[in-house]
Amino acid sequence: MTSPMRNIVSKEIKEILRDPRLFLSMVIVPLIIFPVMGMAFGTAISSTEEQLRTMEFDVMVLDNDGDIYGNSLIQYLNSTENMTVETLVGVNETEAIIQAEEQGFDAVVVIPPNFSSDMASGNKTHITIHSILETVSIFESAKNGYVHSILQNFEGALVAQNIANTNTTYTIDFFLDPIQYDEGTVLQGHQIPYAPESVAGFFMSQSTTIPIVLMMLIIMSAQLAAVTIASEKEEKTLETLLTLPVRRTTILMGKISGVAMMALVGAVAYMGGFLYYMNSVTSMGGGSDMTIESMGLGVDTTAVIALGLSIAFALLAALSLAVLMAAFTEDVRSAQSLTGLIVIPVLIPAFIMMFADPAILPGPVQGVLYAIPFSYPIMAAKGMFTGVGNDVLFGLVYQLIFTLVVFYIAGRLFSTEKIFTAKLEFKRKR
Amino acid sequence: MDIVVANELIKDYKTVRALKGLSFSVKEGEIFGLIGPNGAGKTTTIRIAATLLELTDGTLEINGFDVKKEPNKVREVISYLPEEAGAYKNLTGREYLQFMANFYGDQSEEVAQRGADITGLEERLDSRIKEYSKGMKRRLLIARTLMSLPKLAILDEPTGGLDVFHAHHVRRMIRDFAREHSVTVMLSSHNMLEVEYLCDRITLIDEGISVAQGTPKGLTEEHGVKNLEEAFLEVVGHD
Repeated sequence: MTSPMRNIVSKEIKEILRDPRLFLSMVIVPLIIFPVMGMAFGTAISSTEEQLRTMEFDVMVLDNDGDIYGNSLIQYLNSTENMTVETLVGVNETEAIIQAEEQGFDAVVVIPPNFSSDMASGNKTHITIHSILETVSIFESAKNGYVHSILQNFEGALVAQNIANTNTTYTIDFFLDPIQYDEGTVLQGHQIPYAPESVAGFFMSQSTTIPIVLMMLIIMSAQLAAVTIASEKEEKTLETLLTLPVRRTTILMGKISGVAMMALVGAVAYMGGFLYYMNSVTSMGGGSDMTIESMGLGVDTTAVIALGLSIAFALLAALSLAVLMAAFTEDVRSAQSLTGLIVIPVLIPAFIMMFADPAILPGPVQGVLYAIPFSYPIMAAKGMFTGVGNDVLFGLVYQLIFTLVVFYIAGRLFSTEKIFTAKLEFKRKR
Repeated sequence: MDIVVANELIKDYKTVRALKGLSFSVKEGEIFGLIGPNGAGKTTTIRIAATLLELTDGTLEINGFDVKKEPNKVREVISYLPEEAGAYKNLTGREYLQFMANFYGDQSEEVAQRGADITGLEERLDSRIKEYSKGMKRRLLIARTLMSLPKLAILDEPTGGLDVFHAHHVRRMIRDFAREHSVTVMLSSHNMLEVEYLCDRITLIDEGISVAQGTPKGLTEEHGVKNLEEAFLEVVGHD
């Protein structure tokens, strides 16, 4: 004998899996979209690198100096592989730029008057670089970086020559960077052998993952829950369901459980795709060797349990809210629009806590954060390696109460005729 | 024995009074019709009996249970088919029947098989419901309503929107099954032909109250007219 609850859960799952639109958007798309994004990003980066390696740079030099250091710079640029240099004299900067653009040059380098005399007399001087971009892209802006790096090499050679002229035994490295800093961070009693900026960056990248998962999980499950309720109303199957010999709270629980299970599958698919994307992006940038172990930290078991519970409670809270909201709509489309609003209380704590801890925020903002049940998984995630505070443990109780209250209201609504008669009406005032 | 006893039913929707003191009773084993034009209060009455809407005033008992006080008990003895009802389109007909049968305890396999037999859809039951025609879907839904052998089957416009062939098939399904298994049926309709074919007794409803009750034949004879349609017009005072 199948229990009513199990019966409803299995029907919900079957329906979701067999609905091509839901299955595509929940499982297939997330599994494909992020790897495709990662591949697209990788292709763009590697082809940019390849282009920069092999392309010919055409640089126009406006030589307003005409003396030894200016000539030396032009000679240095000319000797650079893949670089063609054309020198221009006797025109102003604007004309030089117009000519360079018309003739398809990549950059204009302007050597100021008195460049050589300033260099010789030890006065600081300057060089202007105008990069000519055809479009705004990584590749185009990278061209500027290339010209700049060549000029810096020239500058380095000059510095080396000046140092050599002083007859000192010190190396150029010593002159340019005489002090090296070994930085460490102390975080809540843990000594971490990295600079605070690196530690903050690491934790930020870690703490963005939880809000992203949570956001996806909640939005997806809320939408799903809303769709299952609204489609029952739209297809007129709800009327039949509510006259069956089964408690209406069982129907609600069955629907919520079925959706929660499928939402978790969807979230895993999203996360799998997202992690693949993140790995492919970070590995291109060389990545960082910083790990939890290398920082001397361990995962706090209480925090992990708190995180799991708070995510589960947040999910249930979102589902109950979505079911409640969907009860006020007549069709799937309006249910989706209405439950889309749930994203707001998910985004607010995610963005605020990405940059600041609740403790340093003004009282009213703190109040808003603590009132939103979706804040607590993010708080728990932040405390994963350093331990969670009482606010997270309080949050678990609060989340549970919030969910029970919303579920109770939804249950009451389902137990009365309001499930058929309640409707949100937006009347325009004349 | 009366399965349904409706006494002075009143139902208000905000400012509109849909039922204005409707009273009737349905005997065990009979097919009873609520007859009337659109907006007369038939569907409201049916939905109150199905425990979906709440009474503003009056009492309605089904198999001795008060719909207002004991809705869960009422749901154990009724089976309801809404007008223009849908089914879960991504399930097959057989899965749909099994899903519904699972709510009826240990005999679910037997109940689902009975439902499958009632439909007469045979191998088409293994197709997804979204591939069904309107007539096939209605047959499936009627079968779902009857398969649990409810004390009271409540059918709202059971042949609404069906073509002649399917409407005839559905009427025969209802009549034969109700007779064979002594299932009491309360249905609403504004199709007088259907009512004369199916119903043992009817109540004519107009503007939320019962204006006449009796057998279809008795009502036509009483008013000296040829058919139920004319009897209805006679009773409500229209041409």
